[in-house]
Amino acid sequence: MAVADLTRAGAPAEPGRDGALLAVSDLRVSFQTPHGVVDAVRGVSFAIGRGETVGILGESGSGKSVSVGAVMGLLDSPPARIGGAIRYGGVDLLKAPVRETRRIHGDRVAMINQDAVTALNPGLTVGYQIAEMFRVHRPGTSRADARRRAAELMDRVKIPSARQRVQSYPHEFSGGMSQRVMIAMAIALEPDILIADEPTTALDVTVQAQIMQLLAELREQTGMALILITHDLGVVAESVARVLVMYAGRIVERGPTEEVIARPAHPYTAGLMSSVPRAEHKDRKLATIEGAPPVLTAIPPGCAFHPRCGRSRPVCSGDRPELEPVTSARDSACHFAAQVFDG
Amino acid sequence: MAEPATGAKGSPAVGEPLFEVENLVKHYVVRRGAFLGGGGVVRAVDDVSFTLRRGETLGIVGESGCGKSTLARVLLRLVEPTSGRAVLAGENLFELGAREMRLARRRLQIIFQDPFASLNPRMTVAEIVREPWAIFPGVVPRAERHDRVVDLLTRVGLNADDAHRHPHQFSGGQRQRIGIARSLALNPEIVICDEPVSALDVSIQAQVINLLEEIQDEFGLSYIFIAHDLSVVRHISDRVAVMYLGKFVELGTWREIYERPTHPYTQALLSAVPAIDPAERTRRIILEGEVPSPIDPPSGCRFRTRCRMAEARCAAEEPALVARAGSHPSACHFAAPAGS
Ligand SMILES: Nc1ncnc2c1ncn2[C@@H]1O[C@H](COP(=O)(O)OP(=O)(O)OP(=O)(O)O)[C@@H](O)[C@H]1O
Ligand code: SF4
Ligand code: SF4
Ligand SMILES: [Mg+2]
Repeated sequence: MAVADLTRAGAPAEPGRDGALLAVSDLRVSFQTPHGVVDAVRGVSFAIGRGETVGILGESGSGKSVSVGAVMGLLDSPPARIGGAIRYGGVDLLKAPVRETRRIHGDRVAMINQDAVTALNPGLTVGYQIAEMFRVHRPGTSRADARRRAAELMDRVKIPSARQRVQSYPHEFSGGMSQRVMIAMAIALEPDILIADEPTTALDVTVQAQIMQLLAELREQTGMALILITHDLGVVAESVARVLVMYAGRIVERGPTEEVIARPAHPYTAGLMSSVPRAEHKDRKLATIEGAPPVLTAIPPGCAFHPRCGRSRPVCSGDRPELEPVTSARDSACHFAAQVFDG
Repeated sequence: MAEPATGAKGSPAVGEPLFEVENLVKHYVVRRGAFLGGGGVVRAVDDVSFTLRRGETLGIVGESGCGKSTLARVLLRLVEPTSGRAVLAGENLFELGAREMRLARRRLQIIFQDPFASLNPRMTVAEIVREPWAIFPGVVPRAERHDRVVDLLTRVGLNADDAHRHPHQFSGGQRQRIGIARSLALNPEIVICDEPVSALDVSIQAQVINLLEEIQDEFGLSYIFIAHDLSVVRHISDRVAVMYLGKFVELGTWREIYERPTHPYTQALLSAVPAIDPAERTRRIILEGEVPSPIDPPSGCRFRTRCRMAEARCAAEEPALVARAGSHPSACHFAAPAGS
């Protein structure tokens, strides 16, 4: 099923294999823990084409970070057990030797995450840390050149008085400024894809607005693709063209962002949309999704959402719904996707 | 400072003034900092006044470091104020001795942000909920306590069986429910909610917000609801105060603040919230720079270093929080609805 998704001709829910820069197929990640096997990612497939913007939306523990961690080669194995394929260019990142993946991770595909402050090394100046990108990935670069480019990058991400601040240490930077430094490092080698894992979750809303605007400008200038992970529906709505919704380690719905928001085809997506407080619902009770997401060592059989789903029928606990087209632009993993979509 | 009694969200419960906070100040003296150089005075809360009415929810919004949590802590005297008054039932809380303050706390409870950190992991849920009765044995007679714990747990959506389990056996949303049950144990009049749902996922957040609204009506509670999530605050509040660098910069009914804000900071803050509906998207005001240090805040209007409308007068003269532009209190010399 995973491969079929990628080859399905003319399906706008996913770019075809030819257009894909990065193609993840049937990714599975589990962790051995003292409490049992945690099934964090259970068959995730998606692809992203040049210059595209894709959001991954889901609640805590749904497998967003583990999925992109696998893409970036950040998961230690063991404890992680990883299956499936992650293709970039002609290379399967899960099988290729390090000397090959090193040319891709951090270089062609770069990542920033929520915790910019701790991601920086407190003992080195920010300028040194940005310049290190060139020293590590572009060994020919002279020290002076790397330093000059570090200052340029800091200017590019709008750090005020960048020339002076190359000499600053991370503790002299606020959360927002640290995230700018991380962005400078991520774009240093002009990647094809930037993965941003909750880049603004730790930031105040006015700083979030600055950072999201910066990311949009940089994308405009460089044409890099963006994979944006967030649990914030508003951020998804404003920043990405397509969205994947994850629940308990699987993609439950995907399609063009505006359409998914206007007319969800999966009960979980619908539930998420209606539990956000909006102005017009001020005097009403909020709609809720009953219960809580499953413990990943004991995922319910069939549709993992069935214990919380208002539409659940006996078939839902017996057969697992696969991610299938509802329209040419939309996939949903629900036995009753068509009915949900039709309201 | 008395504001008109407006903003009840259709609930008949909003009543007489219950809690009057006047000119509250909390300054922290900091020693020579590790990286900031000199020492100084952090003006965490700087001259805040408001009245909370019975049955009302006053939302307090602002960005990190604006003083929201310090305000909550000072009101409960978890930290001592520098000056000001907080009058509840005719008593200024800040003048009470330790014993009297303990008694007063019965009327004033708090729910914290972090349901993980705020519950003792070694206690059972029943022990957590009944703990306040050790200090106030008169509230519930010993013989009725078991039943009362079960009542409270079921009221917040937990089961009677949960009484014997420990906090780590619960999810974040359930732990927040335990915290709510405990805060209700003493029949308080006021509950201060400090970011009660920020640690929770959206679907769970909605459950807890609904619960807070239900018990408010049922127990006649007044809330001081502190949060940085502007949509959550709009949903739950009758009135809203916007805080910036230790001060209230605007105070009004939820409609006044959300639909007709007159302070440039409120306008920028609201415009920064990403909207789900394309129709709700307004022109975004991107603020330059970041919030200045509360040590040595800017003279005059504290927002002036980031305000697009700042003029010479803003540096010289501090704008008072008074009714302006024919509407609610706003601390801006040039208060006006957006786009005018
Ligand atoms: N090294 C590990 N060992 C064991 N379990 C792990 C490990 N890393 C992640 N997990 C588990 O995998 C599951 C998925 O985690 P993941 O971090 O991908 O969630 P997420 O969707 O990014 O959530 P959040 O919104 O909280 O960031 C979680 O239950 C997490 O605890
Ligand atoms: S498959 Fe069944 S339980 Fe799952 S989302 Fe669809 S209706 Fe609900
Ligand atoms: S008083 Fe001046 S600086 Fe302050 S908000 Fe108003 S216009 Fe801006
Ligand atoms: Mg994550």
